Amino acid sequence: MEVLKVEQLSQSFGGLSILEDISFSIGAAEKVALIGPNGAGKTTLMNVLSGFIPPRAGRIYLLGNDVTRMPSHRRVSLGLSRSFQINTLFSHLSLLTNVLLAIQGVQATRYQMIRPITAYKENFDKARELLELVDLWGERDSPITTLSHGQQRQVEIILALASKPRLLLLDEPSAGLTSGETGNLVHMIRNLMGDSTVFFCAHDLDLVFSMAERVVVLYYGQIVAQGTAKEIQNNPKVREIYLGVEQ
Amino acid sequence: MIWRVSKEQKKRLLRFAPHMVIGLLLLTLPIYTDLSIISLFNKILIYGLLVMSLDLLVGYTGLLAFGHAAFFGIAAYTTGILIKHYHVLSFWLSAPAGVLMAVLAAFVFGVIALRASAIYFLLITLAMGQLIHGIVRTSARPLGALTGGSDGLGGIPYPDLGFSFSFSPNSFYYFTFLIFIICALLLYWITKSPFGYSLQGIRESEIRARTLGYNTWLYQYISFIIGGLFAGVAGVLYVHYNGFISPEGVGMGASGLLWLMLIMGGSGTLWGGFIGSGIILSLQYFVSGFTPARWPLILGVCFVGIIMFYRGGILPPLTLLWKKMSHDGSLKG
Amino acid sequence: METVAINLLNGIAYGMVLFLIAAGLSVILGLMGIVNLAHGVIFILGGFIGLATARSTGSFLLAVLAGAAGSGVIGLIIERGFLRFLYKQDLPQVLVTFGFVYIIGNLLLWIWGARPRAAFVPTYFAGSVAIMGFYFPAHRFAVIAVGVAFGLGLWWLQEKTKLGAIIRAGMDNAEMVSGLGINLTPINIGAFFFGSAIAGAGCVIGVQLFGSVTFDAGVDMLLVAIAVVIIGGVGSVQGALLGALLIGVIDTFSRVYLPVIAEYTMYLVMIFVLTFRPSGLLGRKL
Repeated sequence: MEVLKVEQLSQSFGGLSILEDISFSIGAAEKVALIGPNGAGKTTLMNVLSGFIPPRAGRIYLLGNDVTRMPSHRRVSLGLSRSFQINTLFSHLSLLTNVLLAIQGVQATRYQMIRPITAYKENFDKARELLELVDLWGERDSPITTLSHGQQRQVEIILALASKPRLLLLDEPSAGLTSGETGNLVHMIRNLMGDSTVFFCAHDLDLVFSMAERVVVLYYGQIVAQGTAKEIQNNPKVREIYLGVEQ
Repeated sequence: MIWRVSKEQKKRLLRFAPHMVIGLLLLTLPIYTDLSIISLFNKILIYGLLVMSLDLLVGYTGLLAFGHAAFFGIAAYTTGILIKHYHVLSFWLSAPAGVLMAVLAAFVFGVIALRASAIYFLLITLAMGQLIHGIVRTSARPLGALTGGSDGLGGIPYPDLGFSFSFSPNSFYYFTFLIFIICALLLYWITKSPFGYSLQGIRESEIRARTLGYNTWLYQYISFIIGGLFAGVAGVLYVHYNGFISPEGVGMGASGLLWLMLIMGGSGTLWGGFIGSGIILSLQYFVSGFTPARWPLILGVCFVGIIMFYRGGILPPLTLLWKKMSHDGSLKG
Repeated sequence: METVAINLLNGIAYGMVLFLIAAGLSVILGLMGIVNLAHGVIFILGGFIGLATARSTGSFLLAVLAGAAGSGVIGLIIERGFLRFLYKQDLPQVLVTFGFVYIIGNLLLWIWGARPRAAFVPTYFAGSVAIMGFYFPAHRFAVIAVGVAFGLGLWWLQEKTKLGAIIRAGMDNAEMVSGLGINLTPINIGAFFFGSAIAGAGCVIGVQLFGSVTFDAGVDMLLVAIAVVIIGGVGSVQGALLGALLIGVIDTFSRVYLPVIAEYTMYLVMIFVLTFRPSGLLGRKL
């Protein structure tokens, strides 16, 4: 069964069509990239997939479930997770609290009102695991605002990973990172999401081709090409869109 | 036998030392003070609980609730009306009824208000508070006869607990203290629970919380109702304490005063609500001794001053100081 | 029939006063995002200053100008002396204005005392005007006339002048306007001053409807003004007029026919509007 199946998805804003007739699917453990020039509709697609905007037409299936009109938080409990292009963290809370909340997000105990959060030792252990992967365990008590941009970006990804999602959506994961930091990020994602399904959009084509097995190309809201990384690299239409793509 | 206290336990004790000292002082108050001070602290406890319930909404969940006094008033009026007009004298009936009405109001108001966000939420909760204010102030029949209109509802005695026990100002003070402790502890446990931390996450970033799996509307709604519940408890205590409730305790002025107390003590700290209540009411007590007519002016000046120069209130710097001294912090792994 | 007509005219007159107080609040909110909770006491302050001026000079015109000036200056002090330093912090700004409700309200009490100040009706507004077989007080007509004149003036400013265009743009997207090189600060300050001044003048003129004004009416007026702004739509002058007339008429009629809900009908309307049409009847879409 496909992890994600999108059928004829359309979205418009006012009279302007942002997404038109988008159809594709992603199988288990696939790493698929979404590329396209600015304004192609990548973030809109991410927002529709994660449940922030309802589509005008079309259907979305997550692990066989029709989630087209499902609110965001319920998609998460089905196994979806998402990171944002701009760091969207719990700013004034400590790093540890951020991670704990992420881990807790898919647990029933998140409604628990009487026992203190510190009683859930397993979550603390999980948080430790995650933070040690990015060497941030030492910073666990610092408020997010004191971390560097690169560190915050890593936290952004960590939070999305904390729920052990079946489908991970990454919106421009390397936004604002140096090439060194991007390399670390790729490394981290590869290690943590070895056999999980990832759908990410990015501008950095090096990142795309080092992580993605398949690529979907979006141009003015329409899919103009789909295929393996190699196929896309050699696709003349894609070359045309991306003047100056490196060989 | 030497009692060995572990380092962990020592740290825990240290963190609660100020609470215990204050608790002890409050407990022994009647021994070394007179009736007017007892009455003042009785009021501080009641308003403390009320502001703490507001803090859950404002400080923890990030909801700009500007009509919170309405729940307080609804409970106070309900209990008062039941006792005075319907002769429901038993505390065990009139008190839960009062709290229940407050909770019902929260159920209804919450659904409506949570359709709005930020400044519109503020205005709609303000409107709801004024709606209740208008309802209890109107002198038109049949409401006016029940509520007493702008004159208010008076002649409410101390609670009738049943077993031929009658309250005195001292014993009612302890009664208030007991209920305050229970409610404060419940609120404290809520803020330290997974639910409580989730509320804080929602306050920081609703989008992030939703993408992590939190049904943010539900959390905000539940927190709104819990806030209304404890405000209702404060209302019931108040009507017995004061013997009298009037529309002044319900409208924008009253809700605004709560905000003042919350800001003074520090929002998002829970105990700050109690401290803020203590500061403002004590200030009012002393100022009333000299220039009672100028109290609102002084209050306004203090408020503007606090906002202009330090928006965190008084408690956070004290908390920071205490944390530094006891090497404690937020969640430790 | 006669009573309906009289009540209608009364409602319209009341609505005009509400328009004067709400227009300023709406523009300030739309332009600067500030809910000036002190707007109600500024309104009352203008009334007090105006009435005191009328008592000593005997001139109604001077009274209106004095009321406007007084309110405008106080508004200016609050904005330049306090709100300016809380730039872009919505909540602290609202709270500061709330503090001023206490300060100004108590100052009014201190300076003028608790006795209601009686309205000053100039001789040229005394008497009644005959309309369709019944008599209606002339000064109330004057209120309606002032309201209409003010509305027309504002409309002309908003639609036909460059300043109006800038203000409308500023309400939609302040950053864009600054980005175009237009300095919005003097405009914001001006809006705050004039919004407050108009409210002050409105009180001097409108007091004739109430007969008298007391120092603690500020909170009530503020809430009515907020209700008008919400119902009519933030930042919209036409909305403020529509909302004001609606509230004025509904309030007047409910006091006569349904007194039990008269005290709070407008809050019900406000909640209704906020629930189903948060941008108000004529407001800009959120």
